[in-house]
Amino acid sequence: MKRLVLLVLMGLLLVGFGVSAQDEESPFTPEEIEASPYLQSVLARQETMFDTSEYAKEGPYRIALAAQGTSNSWSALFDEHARWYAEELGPDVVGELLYADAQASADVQVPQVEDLLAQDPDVLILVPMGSAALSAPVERAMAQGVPVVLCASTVDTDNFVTEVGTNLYASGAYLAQYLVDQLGGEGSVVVMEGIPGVTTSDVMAAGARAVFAANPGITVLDTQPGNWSTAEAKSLMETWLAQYGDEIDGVWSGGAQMSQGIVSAYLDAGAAIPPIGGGEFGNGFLRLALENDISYAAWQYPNAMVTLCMDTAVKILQGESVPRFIDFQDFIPNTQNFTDAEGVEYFNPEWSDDVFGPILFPAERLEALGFLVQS
Amino acid sequence: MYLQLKSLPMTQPDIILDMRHISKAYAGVPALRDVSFSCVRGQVHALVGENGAGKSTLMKILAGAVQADSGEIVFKGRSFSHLTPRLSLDMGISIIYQELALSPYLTVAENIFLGREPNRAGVIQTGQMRKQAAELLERLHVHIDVDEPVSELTVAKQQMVEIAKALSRQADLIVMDEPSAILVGEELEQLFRTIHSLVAQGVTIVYISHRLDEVFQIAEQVTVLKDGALVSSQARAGLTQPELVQMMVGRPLEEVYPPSPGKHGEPVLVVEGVSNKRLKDVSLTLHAGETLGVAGMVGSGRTELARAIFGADAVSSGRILLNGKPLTKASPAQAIESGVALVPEDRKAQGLFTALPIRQNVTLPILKRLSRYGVLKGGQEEQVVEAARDKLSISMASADQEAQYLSGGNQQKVVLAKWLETQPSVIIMDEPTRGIDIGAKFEIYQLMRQLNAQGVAILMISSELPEVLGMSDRIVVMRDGQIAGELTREAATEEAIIERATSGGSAS
Amino acid sequence: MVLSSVPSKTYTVRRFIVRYGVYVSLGLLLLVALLLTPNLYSQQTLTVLLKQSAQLGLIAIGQTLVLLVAGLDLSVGAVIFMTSVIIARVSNGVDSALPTAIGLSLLLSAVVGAANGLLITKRKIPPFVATLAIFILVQGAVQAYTRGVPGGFVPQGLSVVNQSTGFFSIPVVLWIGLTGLFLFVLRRTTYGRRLYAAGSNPAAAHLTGLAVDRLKVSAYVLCSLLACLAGVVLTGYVGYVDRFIASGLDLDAIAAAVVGGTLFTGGRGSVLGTFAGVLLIQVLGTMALLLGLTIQAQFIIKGLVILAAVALYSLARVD
Repeated sequence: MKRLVLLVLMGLLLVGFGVSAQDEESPFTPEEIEASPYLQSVLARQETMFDTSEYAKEGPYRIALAAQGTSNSWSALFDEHARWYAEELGPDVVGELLYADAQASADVQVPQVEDLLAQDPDVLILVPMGSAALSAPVERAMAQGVPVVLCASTVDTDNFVTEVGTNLYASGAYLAQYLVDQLGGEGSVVVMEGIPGVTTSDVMAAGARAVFAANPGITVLDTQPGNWSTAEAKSLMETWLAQYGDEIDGVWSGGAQMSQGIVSAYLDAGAAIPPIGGGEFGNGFLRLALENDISYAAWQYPNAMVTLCMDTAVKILQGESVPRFIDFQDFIPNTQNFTDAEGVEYFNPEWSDDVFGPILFPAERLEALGFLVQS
Repeated sequence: MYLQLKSLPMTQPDIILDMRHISKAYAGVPALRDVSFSCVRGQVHALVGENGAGKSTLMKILAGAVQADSGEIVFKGRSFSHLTPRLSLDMGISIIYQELALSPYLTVAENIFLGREPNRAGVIQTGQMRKQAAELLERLHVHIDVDEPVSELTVAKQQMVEIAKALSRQADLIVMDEPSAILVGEELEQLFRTIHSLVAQGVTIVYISHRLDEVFQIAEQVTVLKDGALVSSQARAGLTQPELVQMMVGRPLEEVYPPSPGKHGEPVLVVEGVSNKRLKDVSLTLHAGETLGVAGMVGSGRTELARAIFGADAVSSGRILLNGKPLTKASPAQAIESGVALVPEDRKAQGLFTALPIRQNVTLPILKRLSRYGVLKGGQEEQVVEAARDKLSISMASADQEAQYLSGGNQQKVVLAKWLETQPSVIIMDEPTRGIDIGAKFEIYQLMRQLNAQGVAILMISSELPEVLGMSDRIVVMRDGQIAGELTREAATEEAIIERATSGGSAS
Repeated sequence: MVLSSVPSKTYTVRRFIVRYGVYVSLGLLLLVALLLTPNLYSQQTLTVLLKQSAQLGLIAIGQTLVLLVAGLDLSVGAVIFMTSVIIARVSNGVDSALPTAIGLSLLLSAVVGAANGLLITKRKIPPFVATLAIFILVQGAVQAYTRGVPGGFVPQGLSVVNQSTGFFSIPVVLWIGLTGLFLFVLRRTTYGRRLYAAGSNPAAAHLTGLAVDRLKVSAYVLCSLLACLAGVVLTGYVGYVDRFIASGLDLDAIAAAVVGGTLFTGGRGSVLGTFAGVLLIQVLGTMALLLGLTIQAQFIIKGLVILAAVALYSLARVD
């Protein structure tokens, strides 16, 4: 009986190794950095201009915004930025802002995009909630003659006007390079991915893998997903701490509040916090990092990028050619990658933990939303 | 051992089925020991025996659901060591189980041809199917609308649909497993007429039943099994009912119904003009120490009367008094508190907690007595279960044994034990011996008499007329939710009961 | 006297599997761990393992209770999220406001549980549908209240749930204590007996004078209260309001109860089996991590274990 159980377990282990071996053959292995389709696509699109003369028309414009919607503070601030910027542009430019709330779900968003298109907008700004699910609606919009600006995420089809975002592969690599530099090229790290299978998560992790592979002095102890959840990130970090203890010289994190869980696990264990490649740009993490004197590098994904998306939409309707990929780091100030040295400047003691900067609109609007610390 | 009275004809051109030397054991426990069973084409062959005698195992082997360990089956001249369900059906063997296997929301015609619908290129020929269904029902001399959903039919008519289904499969041999258990009066007569017409058409019927009077009414051949062995297989002619009982149980018939103590006390239960959706102005009185039989057809309101008295169903007018005090609301809890107990007709669905240990079944209504501040006092439960086991001679491995692993008779005893613990003054028993072998039946009858002697009043609802006649001090007959008549023990006969249950017999 | 009432050998084996299968499996797994992943037995790993088991375990006790009355509660995830939002909003980081915040959470959780129970008993809505609807409703109500912005702070004081003394921390003590309490309640009290009866056969329980509907509602209320307690522990654990705070835990809790021998059909199961089921799932997860298996392999193993448990129990059931 015992032997049987052992055999079954061994079998399962083999399955496990099989899966892990297959993982290493994924399209993002170091040998294939150059062949990374994402990287290729982003680099190529940055160089390609889209001729938008066919969309040129007189204002005011009817702009459709299919946003992530009610789900978290990042999205709430994204929406506020959109509302504020529509007012800033004025009624002569933005005649109407058609808004749809996807509640962070692709299933909800797909029919919403159909409904928006039925209202015949001049342009569609889309925060896609799933790269596969939203491909068809995007193609339909383009076929209908509505130009599509992808904002903060991407779709599987290439049939859109332009995408506003940042080079996530480069961000992932930047965070990994920070760790390599901190450790002087020698040491062991653990890698906490976001959600495997989600494009943004996979691309960042691939960037990190490429850097670690190029530095033979770095040992990756383990790679596991934290599913972009603080709770799961903390559980995982606790187990890693129990398993590897102070063997861990650095932690790479794929973002979205996981780093708070990682720090929390270290604080509970009373262990010294190693450098973290993948701190947050949220005010909560910045405060935690200052209080505990943490060494980290962070990347940004500002909700203020919606203003850039709206600018781009207006440009398209004015018949101006636009590049097919627009990196917000080049246009919005204070959205570059940074390390703890600059972190002090990004932290705002008046903001609550949920604020993700930079905030372009006036503080009163932040206060009205309940984002200021009540004294 | 019993004498083997097997009388197989030497030359058998008309033997349709011959099961030879069948043995079968489950996990080492023999269920059938060297049983041979043969049927003559176009005859009704009754298969009788107590529960656990091996009847169902033998029929399961015939249906191909179970495989025999040894033996041979010869059907229509072809010999098999075992059958499969598919093969059995294809060769013309159909079994109609007690739990009918119909799809309630499909029509009669759809049910009859389920899975074998007349079709052209996969499209069902509805007209063709309805026509064929109507013809089949015509052969059975029953009038059923083929477009009616089966759920709208009475149980008796559903049974006819099952038979029609068997005929549509060109069945030569139809096994009916306790077909009468769900029928009463006229419905039973209809079944017999149908069986006669089937036999006239050359179909062979194996008729499994507990009710010996039915066996004597329709069977030409009788086979008796006991404890997995063949006791006798002979022509019904020349056999008497007491002989048959003796073969089945090893106990003479007159001992089955013990005599009534005959002394009755004050009225304990008075039902005055009770009406609700299913009952119309029902009044009756039950005295201490008395057994009042309630007869009537299924659906005549007998079970509804029991539920109304017990507070399981609401009453719209009239009142129910227990020991002079009226029950104020429709609540089983209040009825139990006032000294009423209900042994429901469907034991597994309503009486027993099959997944729970015997202990938890028995002590459920008296937990309050066995506890302090909601916490059970140690040891007391065991005493209660021990006492009940001794009193009712429940055959069980331990108090922790789950109730589902008991035989039907022992399960019924567990349900009774549960109620006896509440020391009721009135026990309502709805079909108290349904699905129980004769041995356990006898024990339950004796227990009822003991309770009567202790002054407990029993309201017994039963579809088995011999039981009603044998056990009741008085009999009320129900029809259409009303009391259709009352008979004294002396005046009661099967005919008198049936007359009141079916036609417009005068209310006494 | 009657042959069939004497339990056969297979019956005994089957009953053994149903009763003790999960404990034997857990024991075997712990032995295998001795060979494959001896570092499972380090003080720190065990401490972490127990702490994480406690979070799952608190939810699983509640699921066991509703499974016993042939139910299911899909709304626990929403109750946990609601609890964390209330704690952060109401206390706003102030320790002294913590009792008020927890009290309010418990109150609202009880309301959610009662709503589940009443929909199922009075409106006769199947548990799957009713609790899923309540899940969506509560999640929606919380989001309407926060407008997607969690807001507020989790008080520092709540981080006591993270402190361990040896193997023990507040969540672990709560988990073990509540398992013991419900073990006693289900086995030795009239309430427990009645709950089993109501779950095993509601019709018979009604005809034995039990208030079946009230018993069922009570199970849902208890399940919600336990989920709320898990929510308090998780909020202290995470230190932030996290929309995915209960992700995976809600369904894992049902899995733990099922692996522990609790049946979907009601009336059968125990919190001790669930306790072992929780440990089994957590030990497997930790072992997989210690072996460095990929997440895909971990899912496959978890799925296989649940399937194996269900297959074992259904094989062992006598019909």
